[in-house]
Amino acid sequence: MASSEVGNRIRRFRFEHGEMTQAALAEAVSVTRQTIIALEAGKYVPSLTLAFRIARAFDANVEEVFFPANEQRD
Amino acid sequence: MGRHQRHAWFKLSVVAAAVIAALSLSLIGGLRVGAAGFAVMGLLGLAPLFYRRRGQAAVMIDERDRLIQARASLTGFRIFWIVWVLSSVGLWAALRSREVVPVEVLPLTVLAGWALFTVIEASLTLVGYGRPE
Repeated sequence: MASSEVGNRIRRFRFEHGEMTQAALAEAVSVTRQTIIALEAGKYVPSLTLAFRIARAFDANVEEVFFPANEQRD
Repeated sequence: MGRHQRHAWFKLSVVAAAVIAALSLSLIGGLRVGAAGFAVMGLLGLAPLFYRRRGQAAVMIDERDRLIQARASLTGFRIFWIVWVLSSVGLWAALRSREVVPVEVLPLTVLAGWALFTVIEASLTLVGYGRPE
């Protein structure tokens, strides 16, 4: 899936959760910090498993964190 | 720069050194001696040094790393295969029974093929980390 097809609000959720660092989020979802950077930059689309882990780290639903890029909401 | 990118740059450097060594030795002592230059590629065995666990770093390789590595390796093998088959069959088609290929060329095809695969894989790894997927 091309990176332009899926957007995310990971950065916003990080700041809303006690200004969580990229490293802290990476450790929480068992990926490297470079992957979190790539996710926030829209350069990588996560697997479904990783998407669920990220959403769970923010106590949110997957749809709240990720969305189709052609439905940019904010 | 991540450890995988550093490893890719290291692989490119090793192959460059091996090719330079092989060409230099070939000029001195012919193909048989030149093949010894590819022994430099033994340095690729130092790969584990790039993946030493530092402190409390929990994740060494994740799904994105595996995806990039898989794509790079697969594409590298595809290109190596096409080049190797075309060069082998092309050489045969061009020379037929008119010429004889020196036996020293045989191990060089394997070594050069390994170098080609490594260059393609490392290059695609660097491209993979540098562009959207």
